[in-house]
Amino acid sequence: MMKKLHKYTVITKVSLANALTYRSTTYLRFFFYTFFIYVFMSLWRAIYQQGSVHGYGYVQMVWYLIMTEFVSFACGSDIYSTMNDEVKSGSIAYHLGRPSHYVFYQLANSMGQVLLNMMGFGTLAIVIGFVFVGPLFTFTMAGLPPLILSVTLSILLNFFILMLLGLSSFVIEDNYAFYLIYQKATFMLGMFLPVEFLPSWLQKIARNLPFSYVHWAPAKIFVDYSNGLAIELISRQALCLLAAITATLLSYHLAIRRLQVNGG
Amino acid sequence: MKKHSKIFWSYFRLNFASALEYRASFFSQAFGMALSNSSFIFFWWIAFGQIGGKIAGYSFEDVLFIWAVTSSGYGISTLLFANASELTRLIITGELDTFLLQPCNVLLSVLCSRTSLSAYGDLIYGFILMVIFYGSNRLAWLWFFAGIVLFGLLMTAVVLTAHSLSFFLGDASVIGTLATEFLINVSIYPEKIYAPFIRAIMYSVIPVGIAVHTPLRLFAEFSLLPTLIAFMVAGLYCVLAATFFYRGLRRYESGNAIVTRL
Repeated sequence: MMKKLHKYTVITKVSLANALTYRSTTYLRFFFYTFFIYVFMSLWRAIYQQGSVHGYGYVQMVWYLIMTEFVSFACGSDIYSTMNDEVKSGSIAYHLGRPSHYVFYQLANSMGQVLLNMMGFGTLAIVIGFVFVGPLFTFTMAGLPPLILSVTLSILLNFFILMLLGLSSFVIEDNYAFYLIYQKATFMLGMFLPVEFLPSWLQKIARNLPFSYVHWAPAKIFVDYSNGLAIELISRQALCLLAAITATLLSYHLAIRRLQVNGG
Repeated sequence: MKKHSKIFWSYFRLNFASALEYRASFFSQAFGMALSNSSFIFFWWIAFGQIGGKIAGYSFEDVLFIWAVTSSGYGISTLLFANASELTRLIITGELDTFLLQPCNVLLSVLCSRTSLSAYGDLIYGFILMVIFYGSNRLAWLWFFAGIVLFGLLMTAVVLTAHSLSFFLGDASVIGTLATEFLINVSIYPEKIYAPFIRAIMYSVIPVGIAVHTPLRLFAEFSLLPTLIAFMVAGLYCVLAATFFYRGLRRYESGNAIVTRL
């Protein structure tokens, strides 16, 4: 077990070294992150001239967006497009020959960039928040461990759902629409707006779908922390993650049987 | 001029035929883009539902109007002139050589030789919004079409100018991406949410305000002078962008890449 874990740790270290070498795109993403937060902050400032919305104050709302965008920018993975390219080009064959499980290889490989992003974007997020709206008084240090756990679960949940979508390229050649549907579902159910803002009928649906647990759960824990809330949301995230891992491994098992690689 | 129009339409026909060749990809990308845009309207629907009235002086219908203009204007620009955003790559890889050897206008040939599949989704999405929310309001449609023309021209000119910097600075793709993102983001939100210096940029360096927010104001209350100014500025920006491109082209050093265009 330890030997296996060491193998994947080495893969993550190599990917981190790669991410450190090719970091120019990260700087560009820093700029976009700041710009998007600025745009949304400006928008919500205009909206909040009418008063507080659903119990969220203006400062809480801006920090909420800082957190959801942090999860999106820092913790996002390009595994969906990687999977598509590898299946369509046949280069997946190179990975299958490696002494590692393909799914966990990709997970370990994408974690290097995620770790680097988390450090860079994490620092930037704190600076932006303090400069734009000042401290978040509803947050206490007691909420930090559950927050870190929730963000970690978000990263993994997002990764496994994207992997699952990528695996669909074994069956459907053009699966871009699936990706867009997932992306927009996460946008609408938690990233741009807290779930509490949705109409009550949609809230019920959103709380029972995994999409809300990618962005809403960590951001809600961050801006409105309480022990009970953290336990409830983290449990739901863990449940969604378990379902996503199971579905991914099952799909991978079935998909790999359909693989045909022609030499060349 | 006649020759240029012929080349323009030939490129359009070929690009469209090529898009239809891969129908599944074409429809999924066009549908995906329309769906993607819808998620923002969902956001606005919730936001206006929460507070009612107006946000920064814009009603829900006003926001849909600027969204429709931006979406269709962006669509028309990337449908007809998608290669503007690829100019940096053409310069750096030396692929621009191919266009220089052709017996037609270089800029026209460069801009029109590629289309974007998702652009059809953007273009259609604006029309869908207009049909649903403005119905047969002729005045709204008039300013919508004016906005599309203005936005399409300005978008192409701004992207072309930003990428033409690659002739002078090397890889300027980052500047191109930043300019495009700025252009889109200031177009799809009420302008008053932005600080004065951002609004100053919207009406000077990257004058996208005249393509989206001015048509909305003119739709509410017509005035001849701003209309003329908007079209003159868009035209002038295009002329300046073309001039800048040709200035840069003089500095272009041919590569040794062998490129085939099929």
